[in-house]
Amino acid sequence: MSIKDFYDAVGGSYDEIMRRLLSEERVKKYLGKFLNDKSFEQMTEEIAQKKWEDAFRDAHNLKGISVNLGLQSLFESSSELCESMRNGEPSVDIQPMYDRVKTDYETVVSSIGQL
Amino acid sequence: MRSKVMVVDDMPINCDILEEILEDEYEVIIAGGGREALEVLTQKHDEIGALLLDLMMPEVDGFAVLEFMKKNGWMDKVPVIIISGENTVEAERRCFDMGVSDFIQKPFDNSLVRRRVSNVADLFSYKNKLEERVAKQTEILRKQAAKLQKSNTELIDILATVVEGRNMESGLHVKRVKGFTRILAMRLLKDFPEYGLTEAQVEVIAAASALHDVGKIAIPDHILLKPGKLTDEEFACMKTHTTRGSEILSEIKGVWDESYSKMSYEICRHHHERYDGRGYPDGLAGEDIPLSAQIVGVADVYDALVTERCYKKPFSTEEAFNMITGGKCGTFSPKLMEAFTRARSDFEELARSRE
Repeated sequence: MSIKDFYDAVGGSYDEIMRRLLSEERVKKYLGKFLNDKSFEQMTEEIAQKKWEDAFRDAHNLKGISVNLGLQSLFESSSELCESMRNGEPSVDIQPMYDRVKTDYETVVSSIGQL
Repeated sequence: MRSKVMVVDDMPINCDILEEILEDEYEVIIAGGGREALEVLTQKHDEIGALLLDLMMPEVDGFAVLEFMKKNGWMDKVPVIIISGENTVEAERRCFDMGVSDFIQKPFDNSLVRRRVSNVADLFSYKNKLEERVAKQTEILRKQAAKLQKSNTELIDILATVVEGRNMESGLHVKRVKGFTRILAMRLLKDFPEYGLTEAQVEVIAAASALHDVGKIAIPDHILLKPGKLTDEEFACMKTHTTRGSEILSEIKGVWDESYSKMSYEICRHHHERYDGRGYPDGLAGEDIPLSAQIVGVADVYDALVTERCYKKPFSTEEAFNMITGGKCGTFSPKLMEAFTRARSDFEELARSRE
């Protein structure tokens, strides 16, 4: 899979990421590091344990890194989830939001695996 | 030039990306959290040319790092750039309120991050250099001013010593009058702010008081050193020590600071004026008499009373106090008398410590 195909698969703009990060090699390197990031796993656990403050922070981290790497779908779903936890315990059922994040995250991870 | 840049972020991937952007130009120090950042800052704040800071971190967050820096006065020395996924206006405003230099929102652009870092780092480097230079020059100026002040008081003391030598009876008179002057002036500074005295002015008045009788070098010995009461004619001559002294002082130009020469002149000429206008040489009344001369007037009279002179025995400190406040030795400003009353014990302590 090429970098361009990758961005088509995860719903991001190849041109935009190239404008900001300048080289495919660098983009690929950063995406490789994304696999080492534990924000998603930690967030999953924290939500299960209702540690809302920690879950908010990890969702925020996930949102930050995905926007910076141009992972548009994951950025959008994690932003929504993050905002729902900004003031502590969410007032709505967050399961659908979480599921979207999970789907987007898994798409990103498997696509990086095909690079 | 501070060549180090510190990156503070709890996510290793963010640190890696920023390090890669900056490592060509700077030595990059990574802190994986707020607490670690505080430790590094404590040791190396004066080596860091710019700080890239994440806001959302566990335990010690970005705001806590900013608070810590502010408390230690480092915000003026180390430029801080916030790099955050936080896109609320409140967070950004709060950061700028705390003195950050820049706020970069994610997603960021590699080349723009590099340029923004070098912009603030260069600016702060220039600012720090200027401030150091100003501080150094201020220190030089301060030393020169101190030296100048020292030479001013030394010059005054040399002149005063000449007068002392001539005026055989009063070897310590000049020193004690200086002490009484300082006591009274400090009391006025503290209790009567309407006079607007400063500590620096008090020191000049005290130093200049040493010259109050400089004109006595122009008085003939048979009058100056006469043991008994002076005739009217002799007393008229004696009184000219105020005018002769001020004339001498006005001849001394260019070698001492103007504040000293003006103060010495005022004291020398007017320390025998009376608040009711019946003093000499100019018959000034009330607040037309320079404050410095009013103060030295009290100090001079007090010392004359409690000291033995060739024409009189010493009075006790209690008698001296009562004579001055009772108007037996001239009239003084009510405020000055109030200050004198409040400073009574300080006057008596100095009077007792003589010899």
